[in-house]
Amino acid sequence: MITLSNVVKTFTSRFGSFTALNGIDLTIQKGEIFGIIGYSGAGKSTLVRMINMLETPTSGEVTVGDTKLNQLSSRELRRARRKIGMVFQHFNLLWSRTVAENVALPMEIAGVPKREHAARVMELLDLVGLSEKADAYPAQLSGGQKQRVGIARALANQPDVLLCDEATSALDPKTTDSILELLKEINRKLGLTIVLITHEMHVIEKICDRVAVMESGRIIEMGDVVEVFSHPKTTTTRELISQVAGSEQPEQEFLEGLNQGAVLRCTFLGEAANQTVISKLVTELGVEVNILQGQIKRLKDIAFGTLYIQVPGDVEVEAKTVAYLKKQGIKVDVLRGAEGGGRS
Amino acid sequence: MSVFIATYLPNVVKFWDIIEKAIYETIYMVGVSLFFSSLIGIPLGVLLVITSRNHLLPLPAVNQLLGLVVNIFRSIPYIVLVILLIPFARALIGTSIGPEAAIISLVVGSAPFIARLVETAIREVNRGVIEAAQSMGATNWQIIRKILIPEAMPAIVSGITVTAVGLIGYSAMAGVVGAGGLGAVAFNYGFNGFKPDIMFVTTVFMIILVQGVQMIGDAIARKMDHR
Repeated sequence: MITLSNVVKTFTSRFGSFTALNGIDLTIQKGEIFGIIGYSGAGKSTLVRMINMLETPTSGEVTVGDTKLNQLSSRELRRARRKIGMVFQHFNLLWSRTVAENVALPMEIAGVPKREHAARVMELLDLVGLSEKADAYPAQLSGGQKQRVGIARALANQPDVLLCDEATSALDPKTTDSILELLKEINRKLGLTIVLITHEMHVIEKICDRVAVMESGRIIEMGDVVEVFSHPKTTTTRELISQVAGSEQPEQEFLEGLNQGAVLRCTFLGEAANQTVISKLVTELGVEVNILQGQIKRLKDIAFGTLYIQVPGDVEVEAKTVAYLKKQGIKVDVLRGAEGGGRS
Repeated sequence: MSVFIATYLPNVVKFWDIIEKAIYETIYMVGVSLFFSSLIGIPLGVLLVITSRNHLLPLPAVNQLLGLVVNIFRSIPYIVLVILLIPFARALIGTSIGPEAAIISLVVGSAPFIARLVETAIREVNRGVIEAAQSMGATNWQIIRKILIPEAMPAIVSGITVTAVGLIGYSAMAGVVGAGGLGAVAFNYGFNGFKPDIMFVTTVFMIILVQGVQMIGDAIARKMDHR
């Protein structure tokens, strides 16, 4: 649906040049919710603005659908943009227009006949749950309501893609969740591809199918959210994940201070997270289990958890336990072998 | 009341026809020149913004030229402008006296002023909103018409109000070119004709005009402002 190949963006000013994007290759599938996360300055905002050419690439190609955006004339680009909705951090509504008039703006711009506006506006406001605010002005709305108007407006011309530029970053946690729910619902109902950028891992885990982690203008890690969450490869990713999880590994010193016995990290995914694995482990295998630390959280539609356990006993006990857990579909990493000492 | 007027404002009664006509002349001059200076000043203000760097249509040379022209006309004192424009008025409308001649200099004097006020008003429009319109595929013309001007409208109305008040003052000076109006009556009958009561009453009418214009302008701006 969306392809960026070898995209580079360099900003040049009197004070020198700055490379915001340094060779981005990215493919986003039709109908998925794709998240881009990174700290500020990582280049994620530039990246998302490239998908509708609010920023033009210094080199490289941007394709949306079958259209190479960077080769279009400005007239063709305007036409293409109608099919790419965008939602902004600060909503960017016109305060001189009512909610309904704001939502109708993209239709006016696209030249949709006036008589068709009212019905479509009501349909959209209904979708975002703001029907009764049609005649209010943005200044009379709360932040969450303003963003709902922003979303309704972005959907007015039935786009194929919805870009969200830090759409929830100006909202409180509760409102953020309700907006995320709305985005998820829209994605399901309309089958629309959503690309969102954020610096909050919470947003990613809540609604995204896949995620790309950005740092210094590059994508340093990319994959299914579950995969990235369960096996972060870079320090930045681990840091970002720790925003939402208390799931950092226990301190090495803490592990060393424990009595003998294997220390295991068990990663539960999907079904496995819903089963009574640990109690079965105790009853069926007769091993003792000391739970050190753990948690289970819900990603978009899948449960995901990590549990750190200590299993007192020798190497045999360890092997037996690991084998049993693996059979249950749990991923096991041995942090410390049964005979004590470092990681195996 | 009538006894009071007859005693203290004798000439006002005697010259009432002239004063009344002068009120209409002032309103006419201010109204027509406000209309034309807005007609010129608003597009000029929009151009000053959009041709500047990092805006819709960056044209640095055009921008600097427009800025220079605006500054030149804004730096010429009005009383000088009136005289400078006498030949221009004669060429354009065939006469250099009367309200119409004054309107020409009033427009030339106030259009650049409106342009600057409109420029400031439009610069205040949130960049994000412009960007949102661009993301919808809006043309520059659509952005001007649907975003920049409507969003800046309360500030533009305030600017036009300020200009209208200024024009009431300038229109009095325009009495010099035989434009008529309250200023001319105050000067010719009141000052030169030693009739202080006429000077007093015409000034009161000017104050009422200014007050009225300000109130109407504020009310419109307030009604448009949904922030």
